[in-house]
Amino acid sequence: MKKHRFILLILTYTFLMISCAKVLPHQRAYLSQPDMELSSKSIEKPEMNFESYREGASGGNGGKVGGGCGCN
Amino acid sequence: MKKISLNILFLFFTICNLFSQNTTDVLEKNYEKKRLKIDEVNILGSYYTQDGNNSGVTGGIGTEKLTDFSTAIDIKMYKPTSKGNKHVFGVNIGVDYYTSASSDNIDPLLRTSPSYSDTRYYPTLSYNYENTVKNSTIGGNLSFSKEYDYISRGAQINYSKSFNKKQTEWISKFNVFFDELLEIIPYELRGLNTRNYPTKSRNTFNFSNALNQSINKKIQMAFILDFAYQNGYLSTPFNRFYTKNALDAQMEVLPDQRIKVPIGIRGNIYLNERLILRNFYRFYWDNWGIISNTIQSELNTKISSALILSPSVRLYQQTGSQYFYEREELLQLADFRTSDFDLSNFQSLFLGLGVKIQPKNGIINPLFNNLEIKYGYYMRSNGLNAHLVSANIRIK
Repeated sequence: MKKHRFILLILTYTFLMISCAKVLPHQRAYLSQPDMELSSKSIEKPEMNFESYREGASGGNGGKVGGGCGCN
Repeated sequence: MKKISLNILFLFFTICNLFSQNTTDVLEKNYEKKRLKIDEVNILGSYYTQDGNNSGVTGGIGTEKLTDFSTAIDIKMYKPTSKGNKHVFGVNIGVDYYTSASSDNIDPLLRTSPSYSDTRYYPTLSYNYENTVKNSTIGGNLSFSKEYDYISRGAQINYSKSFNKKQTEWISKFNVFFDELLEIIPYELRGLNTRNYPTKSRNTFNFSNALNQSINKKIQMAFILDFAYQNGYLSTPFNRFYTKNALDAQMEVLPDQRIKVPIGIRGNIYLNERLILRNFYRFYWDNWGIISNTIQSELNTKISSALILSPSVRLYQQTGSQYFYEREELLQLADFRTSDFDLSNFQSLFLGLGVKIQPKNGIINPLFNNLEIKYGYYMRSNGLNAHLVSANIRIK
């Protein structure tokens, strides 16, 4: 449990210490690349689907959170 | 006078004609603008196969062999409004066909039980309204899924808003799933009632929040917090459970409530014109005792303008549920028990390689924008391993 608290602490600290530079709309060329999208890719859907059944954890990644099964 | 009158009449008709032409043009333009257009079509297919020796159906020891063919078509359409906003419509239809050797052991008297192979259909309809002035999107979807022993009806409402000159975006989603499943219990536990299966219900409520933030011109991050609550029949009815020295199997029994809290962070970095690094970390907690950590990285490598390779690695670790016991581990039956190794203590590794082909003039036809193929190998520390091949064709 201590290990998890430590990881959370590090992540919170990283988040707080990140200083965001101002990015104007015309400076978003790199950020607008399809592979820079902040969501899982369409091709990743099948793997997220089976992982949600073969592992105890689910959610948090835009993947399946409920509904039908399709695999036992 | 006659000449002047004719000239005035000519001028009048000319002006009328011009005006009428303008009106028609404007109407035609507006009609053109407001027509429903297909934005993008994605066709996704996959083949998944797994094997292991810890099936929950046979009480934690037994084949886990399973194959799954999956196909889905996703169509996105939009209709612009006169104010420059958008109505976005989505239709997704998916079909899965799977065979499961372990499910065949639910009822050994049947040569092939209904669960040995099954087909699942899952259509989803979605609608979103994109407001370009307010930089916000509001919408939702309705979903349905049906297979032999499981029916699910789902709905989602979602809202997102960009602010800080689109540098920050807030996304909220609320999902509900109302599921019905047949309680198909192991054959030997059915008594006289061998083929009549009662229906049980399972409900899922999921509230997901994400904050997307551009850090600088080359880095953007997402902070995700989900909260899920499930109630109803959460056990797998056909999973068996064995206590020490017991000859007869018992049913798996799990609590009728579950709370899940995943917290995720995504970080995408544009390294240079050839390399983009995508990272994901998730911490997960639930009230069944599962705590897990997931780390995932993918390096998108542009070999040429038409070819991108994406090697990826995913590491996963979980502590097992407090209700998990190995076969014959318990001397006496516990109120809540399972020998489903998906809920046990393990680590897993997923290695993937994606290939994206996107020629300038499309594949065969300019409409076929790109083709992406991915192979992945999955291994779990308790012996389960799986292969996955996925392909996605985008038509735009």
